Amino acid sequence: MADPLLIVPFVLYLLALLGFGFVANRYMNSLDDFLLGGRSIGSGVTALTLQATSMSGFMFMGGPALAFKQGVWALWYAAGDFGGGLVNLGVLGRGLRQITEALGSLTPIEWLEDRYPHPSVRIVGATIAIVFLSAYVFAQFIAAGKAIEAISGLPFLYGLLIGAGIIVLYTFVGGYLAVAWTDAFQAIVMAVGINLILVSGVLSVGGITPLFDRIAAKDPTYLSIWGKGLEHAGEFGVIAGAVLIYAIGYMGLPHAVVRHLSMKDAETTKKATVWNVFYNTFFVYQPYLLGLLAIVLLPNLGDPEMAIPTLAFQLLPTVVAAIVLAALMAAVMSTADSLLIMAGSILSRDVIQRFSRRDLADRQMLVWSRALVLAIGVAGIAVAAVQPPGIFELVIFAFGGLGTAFLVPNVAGVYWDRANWPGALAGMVGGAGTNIVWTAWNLQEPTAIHPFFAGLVLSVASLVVVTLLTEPPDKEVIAEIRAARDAIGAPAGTAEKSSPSLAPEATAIAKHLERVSEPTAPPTSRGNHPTAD
Amino acid sequence: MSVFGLPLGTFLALFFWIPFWWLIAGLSLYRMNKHDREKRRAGTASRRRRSIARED
Repeated sequence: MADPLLIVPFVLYLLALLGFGFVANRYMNSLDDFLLGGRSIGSGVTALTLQATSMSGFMFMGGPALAFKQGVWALWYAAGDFGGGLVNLGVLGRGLRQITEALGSLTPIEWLEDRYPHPSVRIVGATIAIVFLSAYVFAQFIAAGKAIEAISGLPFLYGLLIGAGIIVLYTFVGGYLAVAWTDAFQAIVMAVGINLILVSGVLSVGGITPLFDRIAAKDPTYLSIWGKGLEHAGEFGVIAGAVLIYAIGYMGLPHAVVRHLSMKDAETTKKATVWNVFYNTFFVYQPYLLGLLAIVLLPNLGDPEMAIPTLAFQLLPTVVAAIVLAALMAAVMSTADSLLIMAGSILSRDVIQRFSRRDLADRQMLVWSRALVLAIGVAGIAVAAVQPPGIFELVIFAFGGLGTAFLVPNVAGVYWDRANWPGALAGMVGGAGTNIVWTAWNLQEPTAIHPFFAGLVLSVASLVVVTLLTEPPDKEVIAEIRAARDAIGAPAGTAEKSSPSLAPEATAIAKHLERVSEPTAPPTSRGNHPTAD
Repeated sequence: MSVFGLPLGTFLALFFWIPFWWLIAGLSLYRMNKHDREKRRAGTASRRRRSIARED
């Protein structure tokens, strides 16, 4: 059994997460509250939850491992990631917040059908989202189980039951609000943990310049922008993909995009962009720099993915190392909870209610949503325990598949009025399909083009060409979108009226917005919900 | 020439993104505020015109 000095802070940390769930539960009255936190999330929490959700356990394991193997080349990913949240908020944030409230869309897939009115958009969108989000959930659960196994010495199955069980429990109890609060808390834990270890590591090698000098002494190509051994020399398509995958890819992830829908008001975007960049200054480059540090301090490291935990044990006192390990868990859990509630939301709202039980009242939908979160969580634990063959292959496609499927239809939906449903469908299938084929057949090697970049180009091309070859969208829909997008804030009472978000009410609100040809009243304040900022 | 032990070109290529994204954040904020100011101004002018028309 591991050191109690390590275990106690870690257990307290897990209990704190559960506490967030039970506190959030006190504010939950409706479906809107469970799925979107009552659209009450403030700028600070929005910025942190967006970033924590977007960056999974990859930041603590995959990122440092890449830097350990490839040297400073790995920093191309950090370069794009630094602006990922900002781009997401700046491009989609305000527009999506206003339009989705006016249309009454509660999930990113529902928004797509509201913007591109055709059932096939929802069917294809929900299918892609559920398959990839579920695979992603399983992978994060496995990572949580392994992290607890490494820390406590407990068998993997117990680690899985504890780690995943806590995620499922607080998500089930507290809904989206619990997810947003725990994400914000975990984002801070992550930043503190990673900087503690980075500072002590850099000090131990005598500073930044000695660090790079010692890396260069091992192999000068570690410091090349083309990768160790100049492996990616001249591959501009690969570098563009590495930067773009995180700089713009988040705009396609449903569990990241839903952060725009849940903001308190469109005004929240402004402060959230600044908070996001501020946070990234203290977090995004650091894991990769730790990978570089490991080249010097842990030259014989067997598993590069364990660079951060190994450095933590080597450089820090046990109690402080516990914070770093809690941060590692935070990276995994903050993504897993968002994936879980997103998958549950899409299944309940976009599948059950949309195609099977349209007559369900808000209250019944709340029960369905909770039940589905629980069911996916339990299924996820079962799958993670068994680890069936093929599950990891599915995960490899998940991020790129989601990003390239939804990014272009999301952006076109806000900015290009001519975009129509056949185009959106082509963009989704073309983007995700290309990404999958590119990854499965390893086309990056012969073409020197990153799968994400290829998927993005094909998605744009498919959406534009098919849109221009087919009928323009209904003028009424576009007028609704335009009016909502151009308003400074929704008319007083819009938020309350659209909370139940049933289609007729949402349409009435949208029509009202259409009639308003001038800027409207300032955004409404939601008195019946806590402000999570 | 090197910065912190990294060749200058490498340092700029990989780290200039930090000030770049801060600059983009500032510009985004400026653009959003400008958009809101223009909308409010347009709204005030429109209400004034309607008010004058009613008085007439």
